[in-house]
Amino acid sequence: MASAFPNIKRIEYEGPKSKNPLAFKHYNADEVIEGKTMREHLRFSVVYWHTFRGRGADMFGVGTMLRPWDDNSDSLENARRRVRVAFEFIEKLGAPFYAFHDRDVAPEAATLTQTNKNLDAVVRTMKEEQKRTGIGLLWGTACLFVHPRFAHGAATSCNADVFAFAAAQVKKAMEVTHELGGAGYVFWGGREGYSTLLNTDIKRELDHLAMFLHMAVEHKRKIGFNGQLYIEPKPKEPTNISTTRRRRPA
Amino acid sequence: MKLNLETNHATLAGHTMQHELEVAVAAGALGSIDANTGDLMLGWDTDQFPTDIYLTTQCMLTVLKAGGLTTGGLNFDAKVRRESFEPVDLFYAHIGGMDAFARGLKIAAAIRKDGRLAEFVRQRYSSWESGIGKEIESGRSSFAALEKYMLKKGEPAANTSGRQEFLENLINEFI
Repeated sequence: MASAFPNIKRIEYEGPKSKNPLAFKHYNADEVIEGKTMREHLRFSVVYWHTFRGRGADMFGVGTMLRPWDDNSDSLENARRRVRVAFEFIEKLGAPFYAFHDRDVAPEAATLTQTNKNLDAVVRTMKEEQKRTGIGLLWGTACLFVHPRFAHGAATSCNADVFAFAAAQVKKAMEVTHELGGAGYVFWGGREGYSTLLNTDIKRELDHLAMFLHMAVEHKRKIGFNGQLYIEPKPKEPTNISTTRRRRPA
Repeated sequence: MKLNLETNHATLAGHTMQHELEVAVAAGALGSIDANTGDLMLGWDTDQFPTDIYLTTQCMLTVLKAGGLTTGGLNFDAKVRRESFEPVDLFYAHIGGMDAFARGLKIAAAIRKDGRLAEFVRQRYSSWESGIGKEIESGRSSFAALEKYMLKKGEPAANTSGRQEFLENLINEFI
């Protein structure tokens, strides 16, 4: 496969006096500070979604970004090629870790069964690239906010079937995170909140969210995943107010 | 469960990132960091790359004080601007964030090595190291005992200045 960044070599440390925009002026990975290397202190991680799926679209305009390696199709071939490009970038940058959502790396299909098969196929390529480069997975997560089924929430949905789907999705995402040796797993509830109190039963929704997290912990133990679980708080957006803001870590 | 804290989420909640980090560390709940920044002029998540040295220094002061990240990391949940549409911009953006945090790490380590900031804070809380303060902290006091103590003493020992300006100047010696 041809290089996606043919004119860029590995980014090296050149020191504070360097005028090279493709060099580090302060990040010297092996430099020791307070008994640990900068690499160990900082544990830099690149995200798959913004960096390899982002195209610059916003609410007022379409995407602007030139990504010649991506044919913009939903094919597994394109998805796998994207993985190789991602690891080329992260390796040249010199970051030790990356993070991803399930839906960043593999396309959704018409059925959950096929969607999971797609994810397994791309995860195989991710495992190869991890092995080739030594880059590790900081954490994995599930995207429970983009698809219209999550419009009323995922774990806090008024629709019990949607809770069930979200649970199935997190189960799978946690399992592939474990398979990839991820150091952690994140919960960001992008749609766990409300737009209007007129149609919202706060107590019931929070109880459901708690149940969901308890089930996640139970499954983590069941599969022997020793990664750290994280809750990522955000007060609002896309919801008007987020329920995760009020959750205390268990 | 631990927390994955993100600068832009903190500022959307009306907090500084350092506030959220310090509260998390105090609760033993800091896990990982989504290293980005927002735009304080805007009311939504812009997920920009972090380049502010004060921000990265404050983050690293708290992280170093907490003993460092273990399973977590500095995860660049950040995107290049819509106008920065060439692939090379992805490199510039990440290099900038990584250098900003490396610089913050070096500055934070220098502040800690200097020791004046930590000594000031230690002095500020010194009334809790002995006497009535130590009794309260160890759980051996009560309202009745404290009333008895204060009725005898009359007035608390005088407060000393918080020295915010002095401390902000101190930080500026190292930035």
